[in-house]
Amino acid sequence: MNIILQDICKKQTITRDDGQIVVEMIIDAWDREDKITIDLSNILVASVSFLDEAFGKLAFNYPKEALTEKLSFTNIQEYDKALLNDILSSRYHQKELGLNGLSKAKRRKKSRNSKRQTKMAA
Amino acid sequence: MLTLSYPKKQSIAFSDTLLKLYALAKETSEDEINFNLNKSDSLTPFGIIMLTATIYECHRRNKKCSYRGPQNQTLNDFLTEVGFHTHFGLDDLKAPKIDAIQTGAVQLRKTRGLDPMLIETLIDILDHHLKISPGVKGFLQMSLIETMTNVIDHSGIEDYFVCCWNYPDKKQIRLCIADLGMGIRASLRGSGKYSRHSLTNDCRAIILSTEEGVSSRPGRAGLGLTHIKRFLSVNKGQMCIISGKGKVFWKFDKGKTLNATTAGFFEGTIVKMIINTDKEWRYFMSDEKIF
Repeated sequence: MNIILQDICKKQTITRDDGQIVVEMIIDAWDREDKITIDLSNILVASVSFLDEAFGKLAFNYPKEALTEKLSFTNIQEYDKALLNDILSSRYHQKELGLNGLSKAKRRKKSRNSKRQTKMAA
Repeated sequence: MLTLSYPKKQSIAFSDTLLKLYALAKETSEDEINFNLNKSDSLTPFGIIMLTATIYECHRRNKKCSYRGPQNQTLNDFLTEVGFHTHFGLDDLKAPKIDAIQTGAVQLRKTRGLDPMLIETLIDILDHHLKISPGVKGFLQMSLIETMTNVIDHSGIEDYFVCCWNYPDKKQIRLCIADLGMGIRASLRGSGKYSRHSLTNDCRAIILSTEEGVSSRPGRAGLGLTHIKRFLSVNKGQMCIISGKGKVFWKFDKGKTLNATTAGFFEGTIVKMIINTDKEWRYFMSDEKIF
């Protein structure tokens, strides 16, 4: 499967909302497709927000090996490639630390909710 | 005439004293204010920015400002070099031209709007002194752009002050950015995206502004401070934000976050950072190539 960023996002490759469109397509195709190629058409994205939302957060759902096996990037600028690698590395590092991308406040809330659910179940 | 006597040290540790002096200067009915630095012997970029912000507030209120310099000659020379004397209008003490990248310093300046040249200089300084990877470089550049945009958006005005200085003996680069706008809490409240409950005090608003996805701008992600915070936590540096009556100090080197109510109200926002220049090995992000 080929995802041509220019066709999907037009010039909207800045915000998290823009990245959300791409990540949804990837997750949707994950089980169906052997390979997902993302063509960046040599556009310079240079947005941490977009790259993190579109690809960085996949680190929380898929192991590194599965990600590199399934995804490939073409026509990506060196600058974006370096940025993408940094974002993914730091997201995997975050995952190793068990933070799963949630802020302290959200983690506290999640843990409170799960405690409440356990109590209710009991 | 009101005389403001400045303490021996003007750094973040003395922020309460400096904020009290700032409040005094703003509230006084006197027409002339004397800034007395006679006893001072050290100023960090934070101290310089606080002092400059106080002077700026006086100018905004059409008050006459006079200045008594420090007895300490080293500090006097530093104030000339950092550009404070030029900024104060003491033309005979003109700041020398310095090579920002080599020295790791950006002299005190008041700037307007998003200044890509300034951001590039700051990134080049970090690149030169920390040897960061191209990815981290890009990542920081974007984060600084977002932070500066946030400063402008949060403040509601476009002027802000920047000062950055390198301390080779301490192996630190200290950076301070400040605006004199409406402050973080008022700005987040004005965006209409956050409930009263989530903005109960200035510290809460500051913390909220550094969380992923929080911004006063509609439809924007607000990642600048989040990523800078992450970079500084890897770097084991420090970050402190003062806005309104709130002060939040992230001491990543000590694994502590301190919240405090300040002695004086600061209308705008000050962001102060300490970046360690001897921590190259800490950048886990620098070598890995996943794609």
